[in-house]
Amino acid sequence: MSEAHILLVDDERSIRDPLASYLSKNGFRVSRAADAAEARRILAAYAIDLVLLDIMMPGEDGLALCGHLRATSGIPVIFVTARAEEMERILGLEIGADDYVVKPFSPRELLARIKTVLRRSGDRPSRTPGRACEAFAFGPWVLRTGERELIDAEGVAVPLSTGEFNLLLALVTHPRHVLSRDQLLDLAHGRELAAFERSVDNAVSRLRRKIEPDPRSPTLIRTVWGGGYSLAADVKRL
Amino acid sequence: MSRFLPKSLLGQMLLLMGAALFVAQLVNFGFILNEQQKLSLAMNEGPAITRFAHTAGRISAAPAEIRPMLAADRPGPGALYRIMETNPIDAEGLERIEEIERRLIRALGDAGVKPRAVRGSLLAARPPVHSDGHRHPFHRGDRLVLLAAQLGDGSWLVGRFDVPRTDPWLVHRLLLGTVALYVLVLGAVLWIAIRLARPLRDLTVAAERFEGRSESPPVEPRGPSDVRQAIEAFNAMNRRTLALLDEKDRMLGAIGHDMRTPLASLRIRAESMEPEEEKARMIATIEEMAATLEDILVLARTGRAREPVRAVDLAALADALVEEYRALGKMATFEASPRAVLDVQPNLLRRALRNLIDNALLYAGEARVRASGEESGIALIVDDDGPGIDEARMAEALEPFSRLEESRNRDSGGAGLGLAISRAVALAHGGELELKRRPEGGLSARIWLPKVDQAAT
Repeated sequence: MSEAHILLVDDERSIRDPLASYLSKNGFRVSRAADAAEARRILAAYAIDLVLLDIMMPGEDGLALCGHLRATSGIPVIFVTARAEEMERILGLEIGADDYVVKPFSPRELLARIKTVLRRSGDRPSRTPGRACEAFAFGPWVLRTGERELIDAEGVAVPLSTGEFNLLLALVTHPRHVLSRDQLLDLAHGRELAAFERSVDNAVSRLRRKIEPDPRSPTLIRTVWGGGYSLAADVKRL
Repeated sequence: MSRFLPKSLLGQMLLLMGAALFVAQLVNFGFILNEQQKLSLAMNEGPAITRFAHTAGRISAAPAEIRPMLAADRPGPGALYRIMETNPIDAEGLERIEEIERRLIRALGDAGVKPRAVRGSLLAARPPVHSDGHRHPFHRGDRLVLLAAQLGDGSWLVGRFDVPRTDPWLVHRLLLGTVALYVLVLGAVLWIAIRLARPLRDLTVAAERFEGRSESPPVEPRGPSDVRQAIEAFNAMNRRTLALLDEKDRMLGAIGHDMRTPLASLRIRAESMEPEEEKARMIATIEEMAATLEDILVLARTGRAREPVRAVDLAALADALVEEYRALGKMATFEASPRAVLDVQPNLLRRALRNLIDNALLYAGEARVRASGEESGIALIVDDDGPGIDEARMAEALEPFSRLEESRNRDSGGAGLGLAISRAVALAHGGELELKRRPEGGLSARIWLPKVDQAAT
């Protein structure tokens, strides 16, 4: 993956050109497209590793193009958009985007996100669409990744911090597996860049306070002596 | 005094109509009683006058010696005659009634008597009492007519007649009529007032509930046509307001998009700038512009945010938010609070709370957050030990673009929209934002969110 090929789709020349040169400088091969039609031509001609996609474009918009990509390929998509509302973010992720950055963004942060998404898609070549927006049911809880929320049996949303969310996501994607602290740290880090420096134990105890009926004798997140933690519940993808 | 007067349309109409009816009835009573008196003269006193004239005719034709005997002889039922030296009416100073005297003269004329003078009076139920304590001898009945005619020789023929009382049930009938009138008129007023008041109340409720969202249903036009027209005009105004608000949203969306794109372009170009310190400054400026733009857009859209309302555990929300600050190494703490569930727009609320925490961190370097669930709602409270805000300037602090340090030193904060956004979010949830000086020093900011009974509204 020394030179991943990124397709940059944005109708704004003032974004397209400097961003393309920034990404080139940082070791990517970049193709540019000003609209969806041009993007489709490039997608047909080259092996693209990742698409950076603007949502609001004249003609076919980014959401439609993303839907097309999801239906025909497993190429990861990151939305780059000037629409900042939370609803847009979730909509984008529901359509099957892997991530979402809002203009104006820090190019360095975008770079980090590109790398994360590329690594993840490299890990799992046969990705299922809608990876970034899923729901996992375990015990009385449902974890929704789009909203990053836990929903309880009564439908009440219990918000999680980034750290708690990442840890829980790692656990529900590996149910009944014993995950060591290092593994958990790794899995959680791979998901989000936001700080997760605090100890895994601390995050686990916070999570237990939120999801265990009795945090002192946990039944959902079990401590495995000498090993780490494991989620003692069956997980169903919704 | 005026606070005892009714304030509502219904109360005022009833009071006014009641008072007007009362005055009208008083005037009416006066007329009726006057009329009744005239009628009574003809009906009750008339026969007595005729009888008196007849007797006077007989007596004046007789010699003076036998007149007293004639007068005392068979006076007829309810009547008494006397021949007297003086007439008791003048002697007692009784009220003379002109109408009776006029009729008496006419009746005496018909009987062929030409009196030197006549007197006529009515005695009411309670007779006047003599100075020596004796009642007047002529007075025995409840209601008497006293008639006197001075004959040719200067003596007076005096007659006293019992007359039927004038319509004893008159007052009762009048009262009954008044009550019936009150019931009818006030009933009609009540009906009209209710017909007016109900659609007006609908209108008030609709105006109070108007949130600038398209879901608010139009008010059903009912009541009299002018009220209907007012309601239809209100509905039309609502539609225009909604259209304006929609246009505002579209415009803000366009502004947001059109400003974010060049800012993004600048931000990307800044990344390759030299030297390093110039680049850092430029990036800081761009990010600040972006943050201010974001704040303005959020503030302008609160209350019309499209975010759906969901049941959220606010204690967990505050806890998770504080945890994010802690992860970034900020001095934020959350005081463990029990579950506090409310239907809210969680992202807006998160933003409101974040602004309060940012302020506490900025001015005090530390923020203590707690959630307190109460019977009537939930409070999210951020306490700090900073310099606080003067009581006098607290209202000012909540205004958009107000920054209490006069310097408008940008290093110490944003564009002055933080508290305004927090307050707008609280208001959009039907609550409020309160700032308070803590007795121990420092500021306590409290977002209060009432529990709205959704089923009742």
